Amino acid sequence: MADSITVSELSRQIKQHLEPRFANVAVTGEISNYRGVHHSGHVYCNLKDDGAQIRLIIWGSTLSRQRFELKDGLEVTITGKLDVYARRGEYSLVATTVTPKGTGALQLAFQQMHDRLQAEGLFDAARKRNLPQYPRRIGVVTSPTGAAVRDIITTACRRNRNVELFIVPVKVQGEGAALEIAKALRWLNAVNDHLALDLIIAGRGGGSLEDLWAFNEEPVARAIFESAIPVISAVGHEVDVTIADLVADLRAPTPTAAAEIAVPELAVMEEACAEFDLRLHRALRHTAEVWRGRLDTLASRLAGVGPLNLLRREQQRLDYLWEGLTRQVKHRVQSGNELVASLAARLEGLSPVAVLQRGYSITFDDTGKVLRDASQAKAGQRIRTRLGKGEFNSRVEGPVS
Amino acid sequence: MARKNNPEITPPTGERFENLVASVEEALRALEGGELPLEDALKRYEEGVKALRKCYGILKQAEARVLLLTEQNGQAQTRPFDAEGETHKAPEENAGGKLF
Repeated sequence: MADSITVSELSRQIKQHLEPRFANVAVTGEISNYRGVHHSGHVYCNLKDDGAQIRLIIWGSTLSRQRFELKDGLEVTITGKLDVYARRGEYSLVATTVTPKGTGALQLAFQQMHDRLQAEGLFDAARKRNLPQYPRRIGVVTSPTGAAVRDIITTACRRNRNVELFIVPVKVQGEGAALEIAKALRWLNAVNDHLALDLIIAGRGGGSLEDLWAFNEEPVARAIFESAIPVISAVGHEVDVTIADLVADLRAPTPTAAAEIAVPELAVMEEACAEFDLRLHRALRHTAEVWRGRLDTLASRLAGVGPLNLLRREQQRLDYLWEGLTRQVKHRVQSGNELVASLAARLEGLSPVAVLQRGYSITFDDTGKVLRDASQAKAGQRIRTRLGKGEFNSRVEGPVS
Repeated sequence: MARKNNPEITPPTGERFENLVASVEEALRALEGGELPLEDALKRYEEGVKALRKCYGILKQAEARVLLLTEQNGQAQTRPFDAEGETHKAPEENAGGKLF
């Protein structure tokens, strides 16, 4: 029988044998017995397969490099080393990296956050705000260098000189980028009473999935969600869809497209104005024509029933309208106002002179007062009658009985 | 640093284009709707033309402005933005991290 050794000695020998042998292993298995991150910041759980399991330790420092969340049943490949804890007679796998199997780590992180934010309603179409049609001042949250900011500026200024861009410089990739973007968005909202931005474009140019990652992070998603100013996201190329894109009020496929969506073309605005111009004139002319028709009808119906009184009222009315029209002609906006001029000419056709030309006449007494009632005319009185063309004097013989 | 006025950041003045367009459209709706008395039609027309004239005024307005907007001691600061100039600076100089 060999000499006995102590438990400690045995453990020491086991540790000595095992640890160098398994100092660098890659193991694939399923996470189990996951109870979240321990208050120490580390994770203690198991890695298992059908036949066995091993304790798994992920230190906080390793954990902080992971973007996805661990959970039971998640299949992962762990690289790391074996650690023998002699005090408790246990051996564990200490992870250096944790890689989800199948989908990549970023993909998984994306999916997990995506599901969570979706459940919270951050992507709901119903909460998306309308973009202002004619923004005057636009905040652009992006890197001050690089192609994206240039594309946005060039495109916006080419479409419309009548716009102000406020470039808010942020880091768009790497450590801390997401927090910077989120902070910038919050700050713009906080001071917007002063700034009066109508719209924010947040984005960057194309890059690898890792480069774009800041726009997949929760702080950015929440800042966009909470922004009172509508946000257009413009991240990477057409094919890249980030969490920021899903939360934004509108996703532009590229920074250039964002500027195209945000800024209306001046030429289009000019066309709209020209059309309004035309429609205003046309509508007024139409209204005047309708009225002319009515007055004509009225005039002919009045032919037999003491028309002068009414004609006089219409005369006043037309004088008033004529003044209005003259004012309009003086106030004309642009060319194309021939419409108003022709309208004026047509209204003139309704003046009392024209009425006289249709066969009516006006009779005045010797003092120049208009006679409206046959009883005003006494036998022997001199009267003057104005016709469509010229006047003549006559003497009253007596009433028609 | 003394709190100084930053005239660049005063909110844009004048009426918004969309509001003016809405006024024109309202006048048009009334006019095109048909049977306005002629006096009212003229009044509406006049309103429409007035708003439209302001629209044209906006379209004629000056140059686009591109400014770099940063926070300094809680205050918004602006300076003209020059994309080329920014690009040619050393990365440390224009790292957004210093600004935010």
